[in-house]
Amino acid sequence: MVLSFIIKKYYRKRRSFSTGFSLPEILVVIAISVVIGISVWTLFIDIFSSSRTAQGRLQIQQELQVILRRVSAELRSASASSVGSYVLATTTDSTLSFYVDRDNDGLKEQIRYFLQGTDLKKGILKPSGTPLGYTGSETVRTMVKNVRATSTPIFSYYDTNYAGTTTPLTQPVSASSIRLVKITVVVDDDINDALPPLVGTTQVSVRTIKDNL
Amino acid sequence: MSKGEMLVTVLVLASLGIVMLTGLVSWAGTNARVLRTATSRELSFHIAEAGIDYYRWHLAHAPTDYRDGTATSGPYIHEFRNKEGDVIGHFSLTITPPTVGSTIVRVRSTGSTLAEPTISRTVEVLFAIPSFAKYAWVLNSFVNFGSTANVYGPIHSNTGLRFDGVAYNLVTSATSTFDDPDHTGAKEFGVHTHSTPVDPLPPSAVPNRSDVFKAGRQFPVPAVDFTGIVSDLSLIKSAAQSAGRYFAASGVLGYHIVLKTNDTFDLYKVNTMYSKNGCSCTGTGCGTLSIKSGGETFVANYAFPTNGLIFVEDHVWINGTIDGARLTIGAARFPDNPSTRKNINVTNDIRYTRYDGSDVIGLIAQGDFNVGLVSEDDLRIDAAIIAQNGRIGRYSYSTGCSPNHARTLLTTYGMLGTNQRSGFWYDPDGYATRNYIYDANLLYAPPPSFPLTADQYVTISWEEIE
Repeated sequence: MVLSFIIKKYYRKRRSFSTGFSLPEILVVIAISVVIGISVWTLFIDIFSSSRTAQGRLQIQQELQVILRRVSAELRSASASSVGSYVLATTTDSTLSFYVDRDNDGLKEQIRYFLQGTDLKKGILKPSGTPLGYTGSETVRTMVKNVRATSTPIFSYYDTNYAGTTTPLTQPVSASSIRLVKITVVVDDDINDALPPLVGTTQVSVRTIKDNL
Repeated sequence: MSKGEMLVTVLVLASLGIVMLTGLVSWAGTNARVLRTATSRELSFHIAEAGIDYYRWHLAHAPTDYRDGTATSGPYIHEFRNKEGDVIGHFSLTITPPTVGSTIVRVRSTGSTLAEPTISRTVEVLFAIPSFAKYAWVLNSFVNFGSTANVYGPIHSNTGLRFDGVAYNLVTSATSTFDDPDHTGAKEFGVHTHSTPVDPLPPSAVPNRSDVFKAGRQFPVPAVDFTGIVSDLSLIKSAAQSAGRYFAASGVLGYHIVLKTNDTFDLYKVNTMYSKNGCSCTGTGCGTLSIKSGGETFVANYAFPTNGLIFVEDHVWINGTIDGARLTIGAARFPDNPSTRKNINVTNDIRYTRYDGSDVIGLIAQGDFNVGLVSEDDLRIDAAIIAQNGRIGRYSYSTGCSPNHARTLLTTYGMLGTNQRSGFWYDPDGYATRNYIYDANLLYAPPPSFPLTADQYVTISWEEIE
């Protein structure tokens, strides 16, 4: 009933040369607009998401750089502790602890970098008491998240014979033979995406125990 | 289209292009500058380190030249060249020579590049020739550390050592194998442990026992020269005679030095010691080694010498407290003869006021370092102690010496260097609890003229100055 009314009106208009769009035209336009709209929308979503991903990766990369620079600076200046213990305290695959006076107060803090779950954390322990001892509570904070375990350990160690391509010392390593520490941090914030993980690496020689000029 | 209509479009587009291009160029410029700065900073750091390495080399060849081979006081500026031989930067060295009686040289090196001379990096290093004070324990004889021992500083024995506790620094021995006198059986490693699992016997591979030797063990290493200390003692004697405090033989039993916090000391002559009176002890030369109440005569009060050296050509008893002083007290009789060697005896506390390295006492005895019979029940000795030919310890006293034979607590803060085997506990006499605390400040500031163990400088501290 309604349809016959519209058709009649349409023909009447046509006859009177009135202008306008026919229903099929409208439908086609709407269909095209929807297709274009969806494409544009998807494109924008994609752009934003890749920009977010890129930005995220860039940020991780920057964080890695900053952290590795900080570890290097600390490790370079490491020396015997305030109670006289050896410069390197723990030297395993995923934990490295050493002594350094970061805040120039004359006391050597024990700095411990360690992996807990997928977080690379840093613990700082100031010596206290009389006589001095490293018995207080450690301040721990997370440095890097989403660290992935790979075949390369986070901390690998080299002795005085290191010539650039030598294989690292096998665990358990004797702390007194270490001259160079290699740090490799592999970060993958989303293991399901196809993007390769980000790798940050640096090598540090502890200057107070360096004997090969 | 009207004539010239394109011109507007061209102008608009061209200016747009220029604006964008300018932005791009300036962005690229900034990036390049940042990169150049980063490179220069890195290169400056390496140049600064090259300066440090250079002076370490210089000191290895001229150990007492703190003026870079010149007669001026510095800073000393050197060119830094690349592999083509072109000068690409400079390092400037500021060298602080050691103070009297010390070997610590402070070298500050600032590196900069020719490309960006305003960017510089500075590294400061302390070089020192290691002294006996770098060890928590250094022994010429065998030593056995029990399972309760926690030792933080390095330990060395010229003979061999057994360690069953936890060592937080290097444990070294001058022998590769030796026969442990504490039990029968074949020869064992120069440094060995009976902490479960007991070490295998040589020639098996040395197991890595990071639970016992936290920093590892090394043997054989070069022996530490105890005999050579005699020449250090004679140097201390001549330096004490010229600019320190020197006391010739007392003519009685010896001297008693009471250290005071006002940088002076009281000197007494010791006339009588407590007699043994039915109390017996074992060991050659054993006695009460304790000054009888009223058994001494006051000589004088002296200021601490500026070079920190006090030398006594007799036995000496020491106690008291210092505040902000750095002293070395030597007791020896020359020429060195086993029958006339001099001892240092302690029955009362020797204390520091400050434990930040500003207070230090070195006690070097040609013979023994003894804790006498009538000693404090809770005895504290803050000092770096060396017994050149004898031992650091206390004689084993019989129950007839009651109540002084058995004591409760002995605490030492410093380091211990002994030629003969040390002993403070003979179950049931002696000190039941002994805490030997290593003073890590000795690493950076040993007592004045303390005997050295090597002749090469080592890096004891390295830091980048921001």
